[in-house]
Amino acid sequence: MENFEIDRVDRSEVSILRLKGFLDAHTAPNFEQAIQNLIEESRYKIIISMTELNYISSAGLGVFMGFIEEIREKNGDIKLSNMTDKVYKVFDLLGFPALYQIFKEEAEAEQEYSKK
Amino acid sequence: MKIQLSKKLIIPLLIILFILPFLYDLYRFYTDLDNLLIDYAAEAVNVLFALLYYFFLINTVSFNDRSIQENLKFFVYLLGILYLAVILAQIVLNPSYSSFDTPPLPETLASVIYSNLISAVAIFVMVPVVVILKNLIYYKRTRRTYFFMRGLILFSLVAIMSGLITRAPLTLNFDSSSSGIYFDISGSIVIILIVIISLRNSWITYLSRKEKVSYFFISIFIFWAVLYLYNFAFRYALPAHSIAIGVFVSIVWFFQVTYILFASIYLLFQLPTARIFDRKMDEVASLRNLNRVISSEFDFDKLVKLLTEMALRVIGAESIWLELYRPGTDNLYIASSQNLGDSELSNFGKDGRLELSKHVLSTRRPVLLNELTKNHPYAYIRDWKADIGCIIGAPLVSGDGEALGFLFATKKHSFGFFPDDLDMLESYAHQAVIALDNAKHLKESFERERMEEELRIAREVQQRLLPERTPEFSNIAIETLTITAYEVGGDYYDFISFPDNRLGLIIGDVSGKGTSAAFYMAEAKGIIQSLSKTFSQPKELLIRTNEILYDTLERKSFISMLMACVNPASQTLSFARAGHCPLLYYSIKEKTARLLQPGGIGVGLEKGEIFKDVLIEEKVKYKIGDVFVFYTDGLSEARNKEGIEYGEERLRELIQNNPEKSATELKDLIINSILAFLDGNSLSDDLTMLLLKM
Repeated sequence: MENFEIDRVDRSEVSILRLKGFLDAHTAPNFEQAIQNLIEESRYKIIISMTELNYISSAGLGVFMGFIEEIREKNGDIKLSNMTDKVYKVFDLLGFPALYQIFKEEAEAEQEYSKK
Repeated sequence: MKIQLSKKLIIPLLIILFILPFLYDLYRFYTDLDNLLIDYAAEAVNVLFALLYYFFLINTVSFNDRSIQENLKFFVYLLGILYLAVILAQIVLNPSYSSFDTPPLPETLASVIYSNLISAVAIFVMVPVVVILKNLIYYKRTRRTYFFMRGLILFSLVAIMSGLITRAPLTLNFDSSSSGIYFDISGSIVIILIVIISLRNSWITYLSRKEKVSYFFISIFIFWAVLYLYNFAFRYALPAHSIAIGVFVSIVWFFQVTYILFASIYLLFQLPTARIFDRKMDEVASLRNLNRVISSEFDFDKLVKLLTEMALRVIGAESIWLELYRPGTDNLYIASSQNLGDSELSNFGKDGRLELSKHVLSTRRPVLLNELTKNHPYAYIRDWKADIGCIIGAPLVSGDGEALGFLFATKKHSFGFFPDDLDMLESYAHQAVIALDNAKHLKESFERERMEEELRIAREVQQRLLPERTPEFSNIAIETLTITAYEVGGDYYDFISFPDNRLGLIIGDVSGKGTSAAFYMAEAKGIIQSLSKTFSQPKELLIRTNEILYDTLERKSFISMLMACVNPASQTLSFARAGHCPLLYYSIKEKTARLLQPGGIGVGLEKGEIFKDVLIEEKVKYKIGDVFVFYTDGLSEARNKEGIEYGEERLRELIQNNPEKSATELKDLIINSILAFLDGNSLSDDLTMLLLKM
């Protein structure tokens, strides 16, 4: 079993989830629960930071899709940041750059939220 | 067995054995006969009478199955019968004996009758009394108990024999001068053995407190009654009739007195701890009960309900509740409770104040708060439940040290709990952990079984969906490779023959695994097959497929697809990539292999507008000898034990370095390369590859 961890940081309206380890079909439910918790607390401005994410599978990618509509309806968003090249390749392959804003740093994503 | 057969004979025989010595006594009374031989014969008949009665008794009345209480009750009845018989006989017969003779001699005819009657009654009562005493002593038996009991029987017989020989009954009176028991060795040993055996009254320990109290007072009364009995009934009357019976009854009487005295003292000493003992017994019983229930009941809700019910009763708390963590969170909820109001249940943890639980968690030990003053750090709990005077709590800690929750019990008044209540609560907390574990394991094994079955179905579905054979098409060599992972990965490929001699190829990967992946795969195949009747351009086909699938796919599911269309007439391959792995293309002219990755997002990710904008259809003009490799991420992401991925680069180099190889040879090269790379590690995802050599 590969490890997967989520650290959550709340900064005013924005919540940052820092993912660590392997996000696959087995660990995706944890990630899902983390986002579900944010939604229950009405925190819709979410940044997923992936500095230490080693691997993401299609099931992991699915988690983003599962919530994005609801979050965007509530004027929120999921923005992605700090991807390693390898993880970016997975997102890029599936065409995520056309659907999500992807940033190099968390700060840039935060700035993007504060613009509006 | 023999004795049982002659049971019907015993009663008349007993009567005969009673009458014979009686007649002899009468005869002796009138004739002053003093024949030792006949005396011994009469004694032998008397002993036979007692023995016969004993066998009759143990074969007709089942003593051993009786409980302590029944034995004691029986004893009291027997004592009552004895007193009644003696009193009646004394009133009617008014016996008198010459106490100067040993053995004493009856002075009147009525005394002879009295002696015989009382002897019979004494045998009738004392023989079962011996059995009762034996039952009480054997309540908890050791090898030594047997040893002492056998010793007692042996020396009793010796005492009877010596009594017969010296013609001196065991007089248990202190004023006896010459032939009293104190000068008789066997008699002394009997007394010592009786004292030792009388210490064995462990049945008293297991009586309830109520029984101990009432038995103690009854025992004092019984003790005096028995003590008085000897002088009142037996002293002269028995030896006058039979020395053997006299000695036997004397021993049994002494046995009774000693045993009752010791039991009475023992009862008294146990009174102060009786309440605690009662409670401990109750605890043990309830835990054993609980244990039994836990191993037979697998419904978790029922289990925790039972657990709180039992704990409430045994601890004597006014309310009790079991808090559990919701899996994977720090939130507690009440899994089961006794005597909590609806508002308390619904307000539990609402204000987020669970300091007490956190405190118990931090100590990992049961906590006792006997007084909750206003300024107590945990007095907040009264805001939730006002009538808490004192509270105890124990953590539920699993074998591997994980905190699962807490068990709390409260009383209305301060100082309501004792320190040993904590131990008890902790035991219940342990039981709760076992219950939780059992329920969890059971659920897991059900889940595992269900998953196995699902996976089997999924694999079957996948196998049926894949084309049975590779089509023959122009001069193009087509090779396919599918390796299904243990958990079906959702890979899929298909061929479409268009009417104008063009060949369509589709490769796809459904997100997720197992049955849902297999199900979506089937759906995608059907949709594409039917759309291909109307649309034949890869981009068009993918856009239409996305439109339909977006509506039916679960939001978090999607399918990456690559669709190609080969036209041998114009030697072109046009393809579009909906979020799928790139297409590997080896050009024989350029002598290089490269990855073609035109824009496109996965099917089912977006309803259509962006999908349409991003998707690019590319057209490759190929030469004979060019190679195309379609693959899924199961190939590029195949990981070895070190966690390194196979990657596209290895595939690309392999193809580029072996341009002269046939399609079959290339496929074998790829398989061998992957297997060598994996080095025994198994695939975690399906691996699919289509190879075209033009």
